[in-house]
Amino acid sequence: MHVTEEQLNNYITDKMPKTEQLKILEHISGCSFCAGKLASAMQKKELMFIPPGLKDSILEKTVYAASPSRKIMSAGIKKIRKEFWIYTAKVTFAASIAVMMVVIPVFPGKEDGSYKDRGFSLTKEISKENRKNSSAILDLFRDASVKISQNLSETLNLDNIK
Amino acid sequence: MVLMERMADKDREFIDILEKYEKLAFSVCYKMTGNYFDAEDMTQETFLSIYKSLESFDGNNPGGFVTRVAVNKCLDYLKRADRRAVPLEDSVLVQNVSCAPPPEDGILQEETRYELLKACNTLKPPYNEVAESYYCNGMTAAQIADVTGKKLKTVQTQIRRAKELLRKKIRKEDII
Repeated sequence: MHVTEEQLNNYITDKMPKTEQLKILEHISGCSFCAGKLASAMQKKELMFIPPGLKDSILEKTVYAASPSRKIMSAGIKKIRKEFWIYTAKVTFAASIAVMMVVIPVFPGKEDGSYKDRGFSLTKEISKENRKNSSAILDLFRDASVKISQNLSETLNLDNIK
Repeated sequence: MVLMERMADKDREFIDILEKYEKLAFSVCYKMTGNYFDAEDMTQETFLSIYKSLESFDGNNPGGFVTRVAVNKCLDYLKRADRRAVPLEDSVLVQNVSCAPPPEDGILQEETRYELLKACNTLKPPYNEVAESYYCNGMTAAQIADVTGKKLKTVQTQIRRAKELLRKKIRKEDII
């Protein structure tokens, strides 16, 4: 037998003996129809605000737990992505240096400064003094690229990405 | 891909139910347990259970569905805790948020807030201030950190600790 409106009202306003309260609650626990009536009756009264943090806690244990990637996206993926792009920029920079070192002639040409016979497209004639300066600059580039490579091998270590 | 879409639908449906009936579930749980923090636990259990069984829910009468699950959870809890299934009418409102039946519309929320405030004031610094800001003034941990100049993690730890203290205090003084 379903719970009557009067019983529900008495329950909500606490005008019902304990034993009868327990009876109707036991009934409601197995009856969707009466549970719906209780829900409607409760909603007519002022409902309480839920404690702060409760909703987040529920979502953490349900939706986010089922989709950990979503939680990561909301929590820390931006930071990881930022780090990733920094590493990518460093790698790109190092690769550019490496390409430059291949393309720019690092070996001195003939005494007259011509690179024609080395197969490069550079045909500009340069003086001995300029060749010395160029070699010094290229040495600096070479040292820098070695250091960058070392740094990259450290920074690209996966342990750094947490 | 289809499975992903179905999962997303389930999540969306759950979030919809949660947002629509969170207050109802908490109110039902509070009415049955008469304790703010027990009601919080039961509300959480209610929605965890709903999430697990959502696929078997036909979509009809969601309010009734949430209420039925909440009533079940609270009955189980009250039996398990060897407590009285229904709080007394003249249950003592110690310095906590024990069961306070709503005599008039609009009073319950204020009364609960007042009782919470009293409970918070019984805590020692810095937990009293943090608890009051968090539970009574509706501030988030980030806002409290911003106002007090404390680190966010420090505030979060203090809130957790304050909650434990309040919960213990309420249970200890709960003579129902």
